[in-house]
Amino acid sequence: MFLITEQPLDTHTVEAAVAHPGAGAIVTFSGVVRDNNLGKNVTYLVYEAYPPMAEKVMAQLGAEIEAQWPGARTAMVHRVGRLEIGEASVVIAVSTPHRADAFAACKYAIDRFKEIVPVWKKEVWAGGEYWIEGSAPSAEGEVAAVQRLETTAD
Amino acid sequence: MISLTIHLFAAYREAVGSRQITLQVQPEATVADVWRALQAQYSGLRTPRPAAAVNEDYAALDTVVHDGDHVAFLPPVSGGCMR
Repeated sequence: MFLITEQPLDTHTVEAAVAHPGAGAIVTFSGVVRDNNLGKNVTYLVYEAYPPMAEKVMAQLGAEIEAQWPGARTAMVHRVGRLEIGEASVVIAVSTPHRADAFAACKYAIDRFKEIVPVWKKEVWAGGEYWIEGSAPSAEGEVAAVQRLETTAD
Repeated sequence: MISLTIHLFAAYREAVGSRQITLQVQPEATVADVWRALQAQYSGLRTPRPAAAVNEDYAALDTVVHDGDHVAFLPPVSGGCMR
């Protein structure tokens, strides 16, 4: 399951997508809209994605994780549109045979997600709004990252 | 001339006023040429070297585009909600 959706996220559905009899651990990460950032009171967030590419890159990340942690299964869902404080913007679940790998792989998944999956976030606060720019890799950096990913997946 | 579908997101989309446009460019144009053509039309596109994708894969700026390609320009990404 690698999905961009406008619907509210359901953690259990994402976990169910990675559950299987050989999995001894499932670690789930939820990213949640916070009411403040950089000293400002955030009113709400608007997320935007390039859905077909985002889902493709998420699936590539899933393949990368399976290559790095044998037996791992990954599911990722990101919501787009207007999100209120406390709502989940992203849910990632990783199952592995043992728990240490599940924690490590899930952390890796969200860190890499934020580097390369084409999703953008606009913060809206009283009297203003701003597109948040994440780590800003160059085009070459991103191509290199994807090439690393493809090398790892081979 | 060849015809491309251009996809724009976040701040780039707002600078152009549209999420998707059609653009004609010379054969053998690169992604960088496409960006310069857009910059000539839309003054709000100031980034000199944006990240880009061709047909939904990240692509370097010297990638040559072909008729019918989908070219996307991608501001720095910020998915999730952790910072």
